[in-house]
Amino acid sequence: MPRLILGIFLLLTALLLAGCNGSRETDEIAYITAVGIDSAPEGKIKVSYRIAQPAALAGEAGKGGGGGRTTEVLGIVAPSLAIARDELGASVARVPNLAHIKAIVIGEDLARQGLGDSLGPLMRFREFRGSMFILVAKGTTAEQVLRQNKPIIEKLPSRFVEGMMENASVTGGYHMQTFFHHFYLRLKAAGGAPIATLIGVNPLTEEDQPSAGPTSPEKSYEYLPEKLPRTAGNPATLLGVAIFYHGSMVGVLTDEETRMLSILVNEFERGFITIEDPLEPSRGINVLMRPGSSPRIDTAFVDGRAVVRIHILMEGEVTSIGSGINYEDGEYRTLLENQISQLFELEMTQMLRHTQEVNADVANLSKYFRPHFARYQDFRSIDWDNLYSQMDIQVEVETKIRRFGLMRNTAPLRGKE
Amino acid sequence: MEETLFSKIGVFLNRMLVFQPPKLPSRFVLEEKSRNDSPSQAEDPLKKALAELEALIRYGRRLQATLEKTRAALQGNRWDDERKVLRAEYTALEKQRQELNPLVLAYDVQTDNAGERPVSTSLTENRRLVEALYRLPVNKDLIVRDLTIGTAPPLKAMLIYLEGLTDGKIVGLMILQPLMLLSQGKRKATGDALIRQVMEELLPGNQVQPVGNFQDIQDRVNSGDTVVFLDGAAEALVVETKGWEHRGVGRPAIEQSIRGSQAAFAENLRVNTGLIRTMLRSSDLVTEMVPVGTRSRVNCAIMYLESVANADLVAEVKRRVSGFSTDYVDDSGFLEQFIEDKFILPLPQSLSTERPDRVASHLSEGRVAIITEGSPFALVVPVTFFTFFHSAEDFSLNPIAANFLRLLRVLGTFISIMLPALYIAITYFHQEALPTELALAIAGAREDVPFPAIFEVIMMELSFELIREAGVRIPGVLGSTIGIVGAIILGQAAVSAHIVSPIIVILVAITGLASSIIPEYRMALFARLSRFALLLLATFTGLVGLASGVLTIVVGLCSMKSYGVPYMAPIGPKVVPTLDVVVRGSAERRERRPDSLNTKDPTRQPYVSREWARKLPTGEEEK
Amino acid sequence: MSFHPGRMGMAEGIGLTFLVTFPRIFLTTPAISVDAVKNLAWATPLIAFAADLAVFYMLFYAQARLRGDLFSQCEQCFGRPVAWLVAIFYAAVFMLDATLLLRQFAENTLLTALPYADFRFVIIWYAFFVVILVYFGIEGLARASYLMLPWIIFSIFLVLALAAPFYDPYNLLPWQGAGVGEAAKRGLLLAGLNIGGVLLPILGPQFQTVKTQKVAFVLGAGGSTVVRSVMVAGFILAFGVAEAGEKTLPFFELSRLVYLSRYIQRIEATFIIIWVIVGILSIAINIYMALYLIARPLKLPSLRPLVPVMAMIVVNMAILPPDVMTVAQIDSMLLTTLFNFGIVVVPLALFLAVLIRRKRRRLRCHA
Repeated sequence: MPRLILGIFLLLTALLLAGCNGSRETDEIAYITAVGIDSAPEGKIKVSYRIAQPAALAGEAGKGGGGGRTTEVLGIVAPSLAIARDELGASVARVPNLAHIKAIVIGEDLARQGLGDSLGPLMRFREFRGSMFILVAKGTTAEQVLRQNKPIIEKLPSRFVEGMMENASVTGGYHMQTFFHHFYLRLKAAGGAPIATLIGVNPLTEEDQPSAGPTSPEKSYEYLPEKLPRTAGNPATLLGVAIFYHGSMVGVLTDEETRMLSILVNEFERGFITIEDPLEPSRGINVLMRPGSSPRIDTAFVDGRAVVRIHILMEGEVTSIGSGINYEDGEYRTLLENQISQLFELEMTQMLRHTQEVNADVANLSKYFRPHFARYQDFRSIDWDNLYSQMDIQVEVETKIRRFGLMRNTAPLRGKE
Repeated sequence: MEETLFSKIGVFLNRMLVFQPPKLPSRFVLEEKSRNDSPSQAEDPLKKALAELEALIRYGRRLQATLEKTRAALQGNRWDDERKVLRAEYTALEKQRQELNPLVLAYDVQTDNAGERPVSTSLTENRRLVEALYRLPVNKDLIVRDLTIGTAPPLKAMLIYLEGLTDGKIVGLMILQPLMLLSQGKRKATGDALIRQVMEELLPGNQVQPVGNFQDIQDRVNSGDTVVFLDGAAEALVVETKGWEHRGVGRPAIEQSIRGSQAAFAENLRVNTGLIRTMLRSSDLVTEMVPVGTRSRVNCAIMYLESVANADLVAEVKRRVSGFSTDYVDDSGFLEQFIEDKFILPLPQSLSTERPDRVASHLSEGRVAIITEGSPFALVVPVTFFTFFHSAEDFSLNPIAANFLRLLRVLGTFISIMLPALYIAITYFHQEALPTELALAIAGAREDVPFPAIFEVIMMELSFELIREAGVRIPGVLGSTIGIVGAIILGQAAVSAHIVSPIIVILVAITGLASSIIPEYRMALFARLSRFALLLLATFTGLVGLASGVLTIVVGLCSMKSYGVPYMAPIGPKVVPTLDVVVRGSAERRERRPDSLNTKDPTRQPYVSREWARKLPTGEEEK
Repeated sequence: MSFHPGRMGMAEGIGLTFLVTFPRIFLTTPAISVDAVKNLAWATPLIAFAADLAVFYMLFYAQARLRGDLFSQCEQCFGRPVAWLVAIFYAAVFMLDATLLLRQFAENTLLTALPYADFRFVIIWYAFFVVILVYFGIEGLARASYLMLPWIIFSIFLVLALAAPFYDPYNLLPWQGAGVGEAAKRGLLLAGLNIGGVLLPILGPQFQTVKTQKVAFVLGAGGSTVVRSVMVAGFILAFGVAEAGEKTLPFFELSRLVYLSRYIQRIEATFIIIWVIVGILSIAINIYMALYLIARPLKLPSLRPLVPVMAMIVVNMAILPPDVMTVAQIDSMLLTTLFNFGIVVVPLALFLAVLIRRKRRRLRCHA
């Protein structure tokens, strides 16, 4: 027995020393937190990696939070992602570990050229996973986005992206939590168009360049990330989504459109709107909106044409009434509710029309037609690609003002009697 | 089958090629059937009749003997001398005859419980009853002392007491000396008067009182008093001789508890058996003595509850304890290695405890205790894996609180066994499993450390083991101080010298604490050893190695037996569980003894144990 | 200890049957089912189990009327040579199962847990622990299986629950998938998945009564079937038919997908523990059964000396196929042919033999 144990022990030691088990010390690994992909000439791609610097992060208490840069961005031009990963080894003395990647950023050029080829391998390699976020660099390259992402609160830029994504549904729904899993799923499945959140580098000049004017009766303009008037802070801005058709980017949704989309796919939790006062249009009313229930979507085939009926129930909480009109009161309230419903219907229809033009079924309305089929073969026989653009979509929004904040009644301002 | 050339060749080849395992008796397994093997004697009418007749024959013999004696006295012309003696004898015989009245006799014999019988006037009958009650001569705890009181005429008497519970000095000075040496004088012949005379004139004990039935006698003997039976008297005298509390009984040093008894075993075997008896006052608690060792004959006490413990189990334990030879056994831990099954995993097969209350509670469940002379630890067999995570005070606490502590222990065990291995597995192979910030923090902390992580962990674990062992060895108060100081200074210095990363220090400290939470030392030792084994496996193949190691341990545990009882009972194999495995139920729900022990009496208490709760409070009238 | 296994009861039977029928949920089999049956793939394990249940009830019917284990029953009904054939056949089945599982779990490990490790190292590692476990004997294996059962089921359901945010109920539609007929066909072909259940009649009297075996089969194989079915349903819910059919390792993919918050994500490593345990345990049980079926007709006094030999043979056989895809092909081929044959023919033959014997006896009584 002792000889046996000794033998086994020696065998195991030999195996360990032979190093065929593939273990890695933590200081043999380069942790990559984000990857950016841009198009490069001659059909190549330019891959940018954001590598974390562990030593800078492990600052001891009292030494001022480590100091120094926590991450570094490296760019490599290569024919494919896999080659790029190996070529990274030419300049980094550690084994790259891609398992901690939070976000894949795609340059707009590449996205418009088509992604199918370069993203396919991602699902095959075990270090990439469906729970990564996919973003599109709007108006710039992915590398620029990675470089310019300098969060002011978070130590790690990846943490910034993750935080933004997690809060997407509670900070107004101006951007969406776009998992790579869903992106890939829609690339493969029948119906449904892939979407990816837009990330842009904002010049921080406070220049006001709205993409579209306010849809009456709303008061706010619509923006894209690089054109949002803002100053200081992190230049990286997440706003709106890119829409794809068959793996190629075919357009963008502005922040307001994105909000409509997130309401439609039930990812919206709450957000403010500023709406014209129905009785005094020059003044605004602020309402905190939240969905009353998940949208009800009825589908039917009428004479071979797909018909979708969407019913949405929104609930609101009035947070300010500039005009001082007593909207708490029954009749006035209905007025306000109708105003809001009308706005949502209008914006929703606009968003859907916009996507129908490019035939990108961003809300995956097609899937609601599945109950009409019993067998997979029948289901596959429909031309899903062109179904969406011909879909007859009717939107109906109902709004209920539930609360009026901390004031139960608006007393008129002095002199306005 | 006929033998042909082919079959011969076949047999030959079979012998040549096939591995023939050594012929060994099969492993002892505690079977279920023996429960039905002990038919209760009350069922058998023949036995009752037999007992009845035997009593009559004994009476006849005694009568015959007395008549012989009378004849001899008459023939030898010693009538005057012997008259008084013979008269006393005849009075006693007369009384015994009255008891043998068929009606009374039939009633006595019919009474199933010997304890409810009244004291007989015949010393022989009383002796037989005592022997039946205390399982003599197997039980070595009960001392029966025959004596003759030196009155004129002399009077036969018998006294019984329990060794270990009584003070020998009191028995000698207050009972034996006055009765045997200082009792000159005439005695009265008849029963009541005789009792009164002995009580008032002869016995100087501070508390003496007559008792009439064996229930009282058992209660008093079990609590340490001495009982004197007199020939011809239908009562016995109880003399107060309690004496165990005067001995030096220490507090438990290793198994401390917040609640519950605070007594611990000592080195003296008789004190230890006495301590158990003070906790478990039952007449059928049997103490058997088996001497072990060839050079030095050390007594080994085997204790069990005769009416509960499985007879096969008791026989097997006796067979093992008396069935090995060595020159000298110095400790119960040493004895244990001679009598336990061989198994590849170094797991304890018996519970070693220094607390008499724990032994008592296990005995009441039907287990067997082995106590070695000179060792302050009792071994309790058989045990299951889960026993080692129970502490003495579990049942003294509210179930919810006790379960919290128990689950804490389970958690501690898991941490103690797996945490370092888990750390190594994840940092070596599965870096993605950590939150990014934590992964980077670990990596950052390790940037300055010039050693591989496994080296760090093993080095720190070994230092911790050193500190722990040194803490035990360094004498007195110094030990614990050096332990703490050593740990703090070592950890701090190692971190600032960049020899280990701070996270390792936290890891090792938590692991060390967690392994101390396991109440049983040997089980904690096993946890510590398997921690190193798993650590190595995890270094080779990460979580795959960890899983393989854990699985091997689990299968090992499942195929192990402790004195014929599966180690993982009642989960593997699944038997009727009691509410005392990982979590424990409230005290009123302990209806059954552990099923795996196959006890003679599986019920511990009725389903409604709190009978008072169903009755009206005192003072309230029923409407 | 000789090859006589020891005494086991219902719990042990459940554990063994569950473990031996369960491991393929961690392999490619579910993905192949999804590819074949589309949205209705979750029903295939249920159909397979229903078919097996019918066959096994015939077997148990025969069991209750014959003495001894499967081997001696075959001896009673068909004579010794046939009994030997049956024993060798089932030994081969268990051995092949062990081989396939060993190869696939080793590949699985290489693909997921230890991407940089050497293949031979991994396969020898598994074989080494399998040998140790077989040494402990079937009793320990069975009890450990039963002990592990709640943890295994809990982990599977935990993964399914954690992946819930990614579920889309519309992925299960159209509900008939590739058609009910297709599902039934695939389900019947997969009946061989539950071949491990024959270990109950093979170990026979060790499980006390036929009723114990019956309950053990229904709860063990049935439980495993239900978990597998729910798992496939969860898999389709999360990935949709198109993507689910692409995957090699459905369970791993599902656990990879989990993203609840910044802290609960990328947890697939934690579940490595569970599938490694299931893999090693089921390989060990298979090897033990193969050895038992060799030792039983030869009346060998002990099977321990054969364990390393058998392990070596299995390892060498496992290394033979050139690539993963071949292994998967061989696996589904054996599942649908040899294993199905094993699960249908012998029970049916025994059942018929018993029926005929009874009828004959009745005729004799009348005459």
